[in-house]
Amino acid sequence: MERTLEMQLEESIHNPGITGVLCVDNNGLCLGAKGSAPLKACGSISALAGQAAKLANPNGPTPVICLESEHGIVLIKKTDKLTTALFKSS
Amino acid sequence: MTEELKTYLLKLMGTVEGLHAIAITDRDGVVIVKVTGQMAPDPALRPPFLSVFGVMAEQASKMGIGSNKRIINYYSTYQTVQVNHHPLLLHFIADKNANTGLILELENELADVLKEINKVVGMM
Amino acid sequence: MSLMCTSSGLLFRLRIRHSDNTKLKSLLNSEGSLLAFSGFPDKDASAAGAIASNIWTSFQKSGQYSLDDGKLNCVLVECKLGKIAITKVANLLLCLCAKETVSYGMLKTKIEAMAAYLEEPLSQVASS
Repeated sequence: MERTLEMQLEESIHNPGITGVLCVDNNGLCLGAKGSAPLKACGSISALAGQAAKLANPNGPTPVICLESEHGIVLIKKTDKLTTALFKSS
Repeated sequence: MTEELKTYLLKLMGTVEGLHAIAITDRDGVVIVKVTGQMAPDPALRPPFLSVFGVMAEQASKMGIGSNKRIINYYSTYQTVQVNHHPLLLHFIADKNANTGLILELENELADVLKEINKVVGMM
Repeated sequence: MSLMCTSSGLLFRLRIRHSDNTKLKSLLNSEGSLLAFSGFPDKDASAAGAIASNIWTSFQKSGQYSLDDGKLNCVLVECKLGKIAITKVANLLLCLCAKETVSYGMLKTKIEAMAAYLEEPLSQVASS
């Protein structure tokens, strides 16, 4: 059942620079994680995506959130029932 | 101490959108401390509701998969997240769309508080 | 893996795919007795089933009285060595047992998907 998701996650982690990937549902519960993605970030990721969606044009596509720090970059994007976060090392 | 604790719990409650109430009870559902928002369903913060988790946690521990840690219920308008922090029980009552992941994270923030309460309860 | 289920003299078969992580799937009637289960043969299945059914009924009742909300959609139980999800399908309960490493989100999504998949065939059994 979840094999496709696992495969997609596995595939994305093999991209250069990606250290972790995390998928959460609309309740902020973890659906899948690969690499060094922090599992305790699940709630915050879906909360952030929800907040950002309020700032963006309601008719347009959902925004991509990019968090930059000294240690790396986190990219977050919400789709219908899923929020995905990519962790990149800089 | 209670006032301080309540202020802290209220602050934590504010960090999660749609979280209506936090309660810390003993095993029998007797409230030790609770904070509620305006939208909180009042009867849910009384022992008849809160005591159910204590009994169910005990039963769930007999399912052959170790002692019970948490039970999450999704109703059509609310969700409840209840944590077994022996001998204390931690209850969160929230909107059904609230962020369960964030609520589960609050548990870690409350670890120190629970330890303090445990000390006090242990003295009695 | 196929799941055999007899109820009210009607026999039907449901194909259910097993994955590595979900150990056991069971169908219970509202009294908590086991109607069907698939997974590793386990003598605890019926006892666990009865407990799962009791958990569901208790929370459903207490929700009805205290939250004014008798419609329980899903229960997730986490124990030290595993997680369990319970939901209602037609007038039966579906119970999924997983390892403790399975995440809440996956367990919840999975039981929702299975409930939707089993809803139609099981309502036919329920009404017969």
